[in-house]
Amino acid sequence: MARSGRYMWREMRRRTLQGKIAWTGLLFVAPWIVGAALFFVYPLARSIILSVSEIENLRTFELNFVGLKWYHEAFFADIEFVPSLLSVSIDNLINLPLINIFALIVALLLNRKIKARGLFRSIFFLPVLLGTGFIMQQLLGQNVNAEAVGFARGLLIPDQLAAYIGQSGVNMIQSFLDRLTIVMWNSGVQILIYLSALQTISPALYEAARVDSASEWESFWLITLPMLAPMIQLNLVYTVIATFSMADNTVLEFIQWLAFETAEANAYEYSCAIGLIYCVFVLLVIGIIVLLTKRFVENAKEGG
Amino acid sequence: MVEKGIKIKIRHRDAVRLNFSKILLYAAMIGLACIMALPLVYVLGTAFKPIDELLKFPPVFFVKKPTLSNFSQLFLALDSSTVPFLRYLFNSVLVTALAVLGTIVVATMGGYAMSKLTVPFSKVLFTLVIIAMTFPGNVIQIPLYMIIKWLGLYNTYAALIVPKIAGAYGMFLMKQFCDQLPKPLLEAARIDGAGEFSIYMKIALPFLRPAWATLLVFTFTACWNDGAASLIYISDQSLRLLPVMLTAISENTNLARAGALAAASFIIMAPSLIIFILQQRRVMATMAHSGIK
Repeated sequence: MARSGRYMWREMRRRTLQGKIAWTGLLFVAPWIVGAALFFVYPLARSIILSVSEIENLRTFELNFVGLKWYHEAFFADIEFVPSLLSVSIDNLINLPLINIFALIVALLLNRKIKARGLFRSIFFLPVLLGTGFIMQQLLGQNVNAEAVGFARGLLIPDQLAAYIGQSGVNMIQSFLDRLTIVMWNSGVQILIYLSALQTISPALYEAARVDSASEWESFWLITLPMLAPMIQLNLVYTVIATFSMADNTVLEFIQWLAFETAEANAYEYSCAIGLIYCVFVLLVIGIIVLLTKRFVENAKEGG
Repeated sequence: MVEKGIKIKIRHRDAVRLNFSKILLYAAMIGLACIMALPLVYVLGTAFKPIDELLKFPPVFFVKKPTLSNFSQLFLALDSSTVPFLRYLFNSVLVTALAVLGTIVVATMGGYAMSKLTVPFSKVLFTLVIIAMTFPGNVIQIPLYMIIKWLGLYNTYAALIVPKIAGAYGMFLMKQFCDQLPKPLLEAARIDGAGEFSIYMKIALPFLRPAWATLLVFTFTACWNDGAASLIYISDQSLRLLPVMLTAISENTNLARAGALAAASFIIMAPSLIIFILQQRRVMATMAHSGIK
């Protein structure tokens, strides 16, 4: 399987048994390759070309090379792009540890011997399924969610208390609750990953620690956390990808608006440029996270 | 005697503490589960509320006098529009079914081959899968629009189906899952004279069942909820999908339409929920073992 492409190609031309299997393999993957080439690779390449060009004539799609003009404009002329990129990033980076800590806590709770564990697991996973997409945006737009949250708020903040802590206090608690909802609704997958990782840790380790009179608190920091290290890294990366590609963030909305909802000049090219900047930015964030957690993961491997 | 008494006492205290922490645990779990599920329950429940309960403030959470009038209202509201509700329903069912079927076939075949057959340049392909998975889809929408026009798919059902089929996530999931399929099994089948295609049909597909059940749930939800694509690639109103209709209702919401909107939300949401409940065991197993959505 790990044979080089050139070797495979030679085998395929000679029609050996190896080559025959390779042909079949290629045939099996062919539909996917065609699809990905047409609907991902080609559009991506086209998007890169567009981002350094100016459309001369929209009907014939004549392009003029303009270099990094749109990139320059995004960073130095557009007064909206950089601030909204920053605010989206800050928001997501605040959520990143919160989502992961919450997911880890829930996974730890689920890992105990409790009844109806499967039911709880499914409930925590539901928002992953229904909390995204067009329909949820509609519902959020219709304030259905706000009503439901408001309902919970009514239970949490009684009027007397609200009168006592004042409007700013209520606002603070409300923004906290809003964030809490976002965090909880985005941690379904992470919970499952942590849970399955927890179940692979051998109980013998905990038993040995208990014999050596370690408290549960200590064995969490010295056994559980190091054993989970690779999964924590994976989950952090996954969370970044998931939160940065949620369609309701202002940068992606801006890209969408430029692409389909405005008649401004050069909106297409500009939208492509901004989109690519955004992608590179997300990849950078992922790279930084991997670098920062690398030591932690390697230490954990050596220790374990 | 004394010793025994002490022993019993300790046991008793332990048992009480255990129960107390158990209760705390359950309380925490139930509390969290409620916060997670309440908005969903609320939306589902709202579809059955009569108009006076719908407009009550503060909103009532549980429906007191359930009614189906919202659904009949929905049909009435759409009766006056040029495109009947059933047409949207038909479009959505057709597009979703074909997209789901296509995705599963392409992903299982591809993932099986990538994992168990020798595919030239499989490393490059897998890197491509990873890159595609990290990409927010919005970024390449303009060229995507152009290529759909160029292929002549614009304003056909195919525009809503074909681009979705070669998804990166499905490919990734199937490849990861297939890596767990023991190779000797395949070799034995090959020695017994089974062709590659029948190995795929008779061994790989049944083995991959939890994985493609998961893919089924996710692709179904994604397609069923996705109205945006049908707004962009379709100009003919009668070929558009259910979520578009929901938007149309919600945009000119007046009080009388609130019920219709609630019913429409229910219709969009319920099928995903049902499919998930039916397949949840497989979904959970898959998510835990091979992967990430």
